[in-house]
Amino acid sequence: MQIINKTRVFAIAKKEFFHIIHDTRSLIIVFLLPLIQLIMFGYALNTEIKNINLGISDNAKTEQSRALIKRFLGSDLYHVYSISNNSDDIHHAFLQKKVNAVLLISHDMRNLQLIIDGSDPNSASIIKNYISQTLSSGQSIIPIDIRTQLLFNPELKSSYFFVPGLIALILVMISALLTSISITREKENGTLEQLLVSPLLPLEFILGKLLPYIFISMTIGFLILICGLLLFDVVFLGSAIAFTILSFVYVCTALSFGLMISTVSQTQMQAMLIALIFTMMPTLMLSGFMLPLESMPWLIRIISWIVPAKFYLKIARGLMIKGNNLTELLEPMLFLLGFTILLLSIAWNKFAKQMKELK
Amino acid sequence: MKRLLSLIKKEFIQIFRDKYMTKLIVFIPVVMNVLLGFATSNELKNYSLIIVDLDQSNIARELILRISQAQEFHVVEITQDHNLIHKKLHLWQAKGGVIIPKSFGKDLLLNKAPQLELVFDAVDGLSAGLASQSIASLVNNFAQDIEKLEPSIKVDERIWYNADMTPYQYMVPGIVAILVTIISMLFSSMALVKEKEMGTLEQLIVTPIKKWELLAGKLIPFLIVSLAEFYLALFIGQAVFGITMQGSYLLLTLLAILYLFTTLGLGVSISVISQTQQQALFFTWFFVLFMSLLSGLFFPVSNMPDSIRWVAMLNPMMYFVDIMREVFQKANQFRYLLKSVIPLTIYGIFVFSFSVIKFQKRID
Repeated sequence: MQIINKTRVFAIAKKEFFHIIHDTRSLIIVFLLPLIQLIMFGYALNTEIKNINLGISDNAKTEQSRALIKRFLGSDLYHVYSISNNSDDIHHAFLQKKVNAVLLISHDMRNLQLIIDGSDPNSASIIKNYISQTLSSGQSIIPIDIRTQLLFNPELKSSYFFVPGLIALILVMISALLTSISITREKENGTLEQLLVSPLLPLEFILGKLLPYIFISMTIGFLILICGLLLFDVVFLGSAIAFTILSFVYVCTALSFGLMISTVSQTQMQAMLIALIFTMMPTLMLSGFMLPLESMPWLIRIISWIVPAKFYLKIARGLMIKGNNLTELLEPMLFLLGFTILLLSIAWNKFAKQMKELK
Repeated sequence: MKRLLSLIKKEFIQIFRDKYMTKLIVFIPVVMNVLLGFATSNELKNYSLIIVDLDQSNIARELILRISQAQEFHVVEITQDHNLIHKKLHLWQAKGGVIIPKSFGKDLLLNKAPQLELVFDAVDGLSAGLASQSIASLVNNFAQDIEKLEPSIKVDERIWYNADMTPYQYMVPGIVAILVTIISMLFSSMALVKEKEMGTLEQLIVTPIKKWELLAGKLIPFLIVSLAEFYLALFIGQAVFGITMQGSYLLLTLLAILYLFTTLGLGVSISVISQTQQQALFFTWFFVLFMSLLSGLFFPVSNMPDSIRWVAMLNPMMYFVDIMREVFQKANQFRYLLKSVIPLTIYGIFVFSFSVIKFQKRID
């Protein structure tokens, strides 16, 4: 077992650092894009349904039915259109996207039929809920008085949900992309062979490559956190030190993942494709970024246990919104640490093997 | 023509020589379809609840039984300790709480409208909202059963176009759109920059190959590869979820080619302005992320604030996702698609000619 030489590690780190600084255009992209993404998506991502286009066909035309329609007209949520009872007309209204739902009132008011465009099932279920709520709100007898209390986010701001998620998404993407491209670039340019004739150890090379990117990713992390807090009025109840420590662990996981990608790809394009698909998709879909994991099929729930963002989301949301402390977030941190060690050792092993083969 | 054909042949050899990339192109649609198709329902299920039963009456127990039997909820604990709710919610061990007050059962029987307190972790506001509505209707039904009330109006609910409310039909066309975007942009953004980096561009310029031949020789193979990916993703999606496309393949293919003019044009423009592969990849990354998040693939664009909706109107992928879904799910008529087809055509012409001009200037 050879001992890692600190000077050699720092030499590689310094070289990589200058390489990054030197390419101004890449540097600007690396720092600016996350900010633009945060700002755009912070405003854009919204799970609320703001308006429902509702077609109503009133065949009763009684005072009672008009009172029912008034309930929909009175709410800002609905755009009410009058529509005929004919099923062809309804069909066309759906195809033209003029309406999201149609309410048919029968002659005697006894039966209501609600037809919802189910092509987007997620919106459909929310629309269904809203309409049935409006329909039942006028019922005279309220058998139980329900009081609802909303903890942590009483105003139901979407930003409370999405800003921590965006930090998780942007951090993992940028970190994995940076490292994976950086090493495959050396492979593609053939500069990796030059390292073989030097006394450099594979582990030294890897650590040297990681150091500057830890620095860059952490800087980006703080930048988007501060921007998120300033622009979207998200609270930050936890401690900054805990955030730094836990984000550091997460960044290390993401960088190690990037490192692993670089050992399995030969060109920058391959590395990019893998990094793009395997960081963006799982982080968006399998981490709880926008949809709750517990409602998913069991297979997806099992797969979600290997998605680092799942654990970091708990950390980021816990620290910012719930005010969790470090000990309460020990479990996700240990998971992230485990991932880092595992990924790093796989990458190191593979890399050392590849270096040997080159020899 | 002969020169063009040999250029196309060369490009194809180059693409398929990279065995690893070829495998990725086949493998990725499978993974994406499975993950995204299964994982995109916001249906409320297994929402973890803690119930504080201060009443301990038979009616309260019956209500608890009803809640725990519902698919929507998963009761983590039934307790008499009021403070446990906040603690559990704080520690991520439950997402909501129900407090059944003292004499709940007695009041209900006496028609005195007892109070029921609900507490939710509102970090995920959407789920909290769904859960609260779901409990409310469950509780109301329960009370109506107990008091033997008839609901005054009967509502018959029907879902059209997707009766089972499965997300697959909605997601598969979206997944196809995102894959085609990634593949076409990734290849075309590398088109020039790689030759630049390797120094092979100069060699091409001194040959009698014309500029347009050079560009067409690159773009035609990329177009074919992107279309192959398009069909692959479409068929895998249908096979995995057992769904069928409702519309016409011919129409969809033509519209996909129309869309590819825009993405290939964008890719070529990136390739021209970038000096290194790294820069080109970063640009592509930004565009792909921007386009997919603002495409309505994951979040309906109609819910976004006006300013963002204006930005989203600049996003070609939004129109393509819309077209894909309309044709795939509803077999919508062409005239209803026009509001997406027209912007996409304008885009295609504009972006593509811009990239051709830039490309020619760059070569000079």
